[in-house]
Amino acid sequence: MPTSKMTPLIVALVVVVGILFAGWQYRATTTTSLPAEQNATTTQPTEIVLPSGAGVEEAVDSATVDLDRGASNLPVPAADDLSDQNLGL
Amino acid sequence: MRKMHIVSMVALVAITLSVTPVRAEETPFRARQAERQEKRQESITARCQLITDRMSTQIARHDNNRGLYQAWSQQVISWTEKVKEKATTAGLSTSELDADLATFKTKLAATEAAHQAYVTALKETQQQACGESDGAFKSELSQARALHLEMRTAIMDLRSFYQNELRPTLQSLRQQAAQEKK
Repeated sequence: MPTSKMTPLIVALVVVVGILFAGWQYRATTTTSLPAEQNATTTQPTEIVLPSGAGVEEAVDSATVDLDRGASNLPVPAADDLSDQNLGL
Repeated sequence: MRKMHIVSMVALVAITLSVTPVRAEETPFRARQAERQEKRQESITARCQLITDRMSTQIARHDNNRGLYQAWSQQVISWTEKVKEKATTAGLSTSELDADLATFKTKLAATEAAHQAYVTALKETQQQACGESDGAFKSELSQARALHLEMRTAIMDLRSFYQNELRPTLQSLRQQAAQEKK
């Protein structure tokens, strides 16, 4: 194959390799920025919405359902977090 | 003068002979000392790496937990204020609810402070793990353990206050509202 015909082919190959490399770099930087544990949960409080005309009873019922669920999912640190064994000492 | 010269020479030879074995004995001693120092340095480096990794995990985990209890606490405050608003409109007394909300906010501030103190202690421990002093590391670790216990107690206290004090107050307002309707 003459050199003049090969040039566009080489240019196309370089462009494809460049795009693949840039994609791989982008993925590597976005997925390793936070530890897995931090990605696992969201910390935004949900918005409080009550139907119009709702009274004290409806407000308390909705509040306790929402807050009870939050309380049961609240993470309490384990007592042995800093034990010699857990720290590998 | 010549006698003096001979005496000096003899003295020099004697000193040289007496010093030579000592220097010969010193060499393995120094080698052992250097070896011990090297081992100690290796052990410090290993401990430093291990503790740095574990502490970083702890700090990330507790920051994550902090976000969760902050979000929940914010929900508690928002819901309580919403119920208060409804109760005031219905003409019910909210003094107990106000007092509970104030106590909850105080406990939340205490939990925040305990969390901050704990994370600071963890970072100090992490730094000492890479230092020369075993005693300083153990002292920082011991302090971090005490603060960890305080933070754990504060979080449990916050949750238990909602479950045992604030929630019953909300339920009591609900009952009052139901009775007012009848």
